[in-house]
Order: sequence, then structure tokens, then C-alpha cells
Amino acid sequence: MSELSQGDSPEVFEKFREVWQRSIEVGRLEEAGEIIQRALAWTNEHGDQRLIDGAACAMAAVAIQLGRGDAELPRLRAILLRNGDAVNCRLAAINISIHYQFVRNYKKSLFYARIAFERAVQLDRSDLIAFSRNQLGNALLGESFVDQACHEYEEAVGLISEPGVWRARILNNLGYCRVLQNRFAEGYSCLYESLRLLRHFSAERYQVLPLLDLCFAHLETERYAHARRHGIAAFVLAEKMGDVEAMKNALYLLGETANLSGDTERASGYFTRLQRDYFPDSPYLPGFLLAVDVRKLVNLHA
Amino acid sequence: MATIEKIRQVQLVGRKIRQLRKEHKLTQVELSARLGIQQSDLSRMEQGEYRVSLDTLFRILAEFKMSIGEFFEGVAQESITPRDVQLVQDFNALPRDAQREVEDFIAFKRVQIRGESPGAHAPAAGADTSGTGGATASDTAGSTAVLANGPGPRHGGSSANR
Repeated sequence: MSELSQGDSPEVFEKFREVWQRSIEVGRLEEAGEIIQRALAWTNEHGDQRLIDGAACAMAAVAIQLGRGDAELPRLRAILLRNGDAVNCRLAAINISIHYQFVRNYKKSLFYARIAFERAVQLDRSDLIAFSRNQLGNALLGESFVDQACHEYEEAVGLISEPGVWRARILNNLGYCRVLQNRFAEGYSCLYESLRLLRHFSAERYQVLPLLDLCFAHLETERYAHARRHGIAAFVLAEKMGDVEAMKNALYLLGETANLSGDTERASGYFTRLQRDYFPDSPYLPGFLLAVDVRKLVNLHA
Repeated sequence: MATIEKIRQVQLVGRKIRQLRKEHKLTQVELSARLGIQQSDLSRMEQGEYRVSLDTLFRILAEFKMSIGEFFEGVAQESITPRDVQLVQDFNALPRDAQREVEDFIAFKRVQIRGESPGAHAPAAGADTSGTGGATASDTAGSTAVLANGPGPRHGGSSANR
């Protein structure tokens, strides 16, 4: 990779961008972060404001994905307010939206997703419109507006026909919505296609969510052995990726699966682990979850 | 049928949150601020229209520091343990006659514990026990019903959540 930063022509930056985008796309975020750092150093020396902002947005995207988004907000807002370049403005807006999605402030997330969408429409680029629609869907789903989220995901997936990681991630979101709408055949189809694509492109990080959603879909359709298999796979992968939220959801789903299939002892084990590891101040939780079905209250994408 | 039951249960949970909020003399604005969610979202949750993350759901439960007994009609005073659930499952798996015998035996034990002489009322397991000295089978079935057929808890009667 050292040859990347040789020269001072704009093509150097584009090479950087190409490499970090590929890393981000398949979820190799630490690797992407290193490349972007080098790109930032290069732009500070050779680049203009547009390139500096582009690299800053990419850096923020990685930081947000890694749960360190707070520090990036001022810089992203500055880029957005400066309103210099539509591409960077859209990037700044969508990254702010993703940050608010992660901290579960869905109203703000929706606000910035709309800005990102408007910019994408201005740019008239179908891929950017698709990503923005997907983000609109995420914010709406966080607010439990399932039908509206579904509409955004459908539109988004229609704009990305090429099989790839992005199509897979949008199909994942659409599939989960279909399961929530009790349209299970469509849900299964989307989720399995999503998982197949993510495996094909070795995007390991993003496989956790469709695995969880498949666990949930099988749980809802009373296929407990399949639910368990997907739940365990999700937990193992989430643990490997250090994805704490996914680990919580996996333990909950595995407990629910065991409970509904009549294996109270195993269910108790999962719920107890969930409580002990993540909710130590709530000793009543295992008993509560054994007794109360909260499936219709829980949003796995929130 | 199963879907209807699940929806009903969600509405019950939402309604229970509303009831508990009112008992604690909290407005939606106050509770939602404590929970870190929007008032409109809490309102939708109370109506069973809003799904949340596990974190948020458990924060709501923690806010009320409730046991399951308090959550469900305030009948049971302690949290339901896995053992409780297993007992109910075992009970429900028994034939109806056997369930009646268990209920009668529980009634007998309750009378015995109260210090009343079981005397003539004491039923032998399996015997016909129409009279149980004040603690009737239906009394005892009441507490069992919290687990078995109550509004929300699962692993109950055959109608629960399957």
C-alpha cells in the first residue's frame, strides 16, 4: 500500500478512495481507518478543501461505525454548513444520520437522512439515492414506522441491481421488515439472498444482522431448530466482531427460541447470561423473560 | 389465533406500562425523559405500536423496579423463577383428573399450614376431595392461573402463545 501515496496528482487521492471504500464496504474498518489517515495526510499536503472534506467524511464514517462518532460531529456539521460540494455535503449528512441512528435518536437521524437524500437527488446518482433511501429506511424503522421503512428499502434495492455488499445490506433491512409484516416468504427470500451475497463478498461484519434476523424469522414461524442454528452463528460472529448489541440480541433470541420450544432450562441459561453480562442491575430479567413474551416489543434493528 | 394472542399481549404490556406510570404519578413527558425516549414514542409504546431495543425495554422495567407479579395484576409477590415455570409446565402436562388431584393436595397443604386441623377434610392424593376446609380448589387455582392463564405470562394453559 505504500505506493498509494506517491505523487501529487488528484489520481492519488482517487486511488486512496478506491481502496478505503473497498475496505469499508466489506467491513474491514480498522484497515480503512489506516488508509484514510494516510489519505488525510496526503490531502493536507497536496489536496484542496474538497479532498480534505472527502477524507474527513470517510474518517468520520469509520469512527461512527466503530462507535466513536461523537468527536466527529462538529467536523461533519462544519462540512454540511459550508455547503461547498454536494458530494461531501451528502456524505456529511448521511454520516450524521448514521451517528444519530446508532445513538437511537431516530428523529434527528431522519432529519439528516432527508438532507442526504435531497443532495443525492440533486446529484442525480442512483447509487447515492439508494444509499440515502436505505438510511431513511433505517431511521424510520428505528421509529417503528415499518411500512414506510419498507417502502424506502424497496426503492433503494430497486436502484442497485448489481449484486454486491450494498444490495445485500439493503435486502437485509427489507427482509427484516417483511418478517415484521408477517410476509415471511418474502422475508426469508431477502434475508437468505442477503446472507449469500455477504458470504460471497466476504463481508463478515455485516453477516451478523441477517443471521439474527433469520433466527427471528424462524422463531416467528416456529422453526426452532433453524432459529437456534442461526442464533448461535450470529452470537459467535458478533462476539468475534465485538458487536455488543448483536450479542445481546442473540442471547435474547436464543433464550426465546429455547423457551418457546419447551427447553426452559436452556432458556434460563441464555436469559441469565444476558442479564449477568449486560444488565447486572436487573436480577428479575431472566424470570421476566421466561414468563413474558416480548417479541412484539423488541426491534432488532433499533 | 396465535397472532391475535401475541398482539393482545403486547397491548397488555403497553397498557401495564401506562398503568404503572400513572400509579407512580408520572406524566408521559416525565417518564420518557427518564427513559431517554421521546414522549410520542412512549405514547405509541403504551398503545403497543412501538418496538424498542432491548436496552430501552429493560430500562423501562428497571424504572418501575417491578417484579413479574407486580407487572401482572399484582397477584404474585415474587418474581417467577425458572422452577416456577417448570412447575406450571409439568402441571399443564398432566391429565385433567391428575391436575384436580394436585389442586386438591395444594388446598390440603394450605389448610394444614394455616394450622387448621385437616381432619376429615384431609384428602389423600387421588381421593375425591370436594371439601377442603375453606381453601377450595378454585382458590388455589387462582394463584396458579397467574402463571398458567394470566394475561401475558406464557407457558401457561394450552392457549398461551403457541
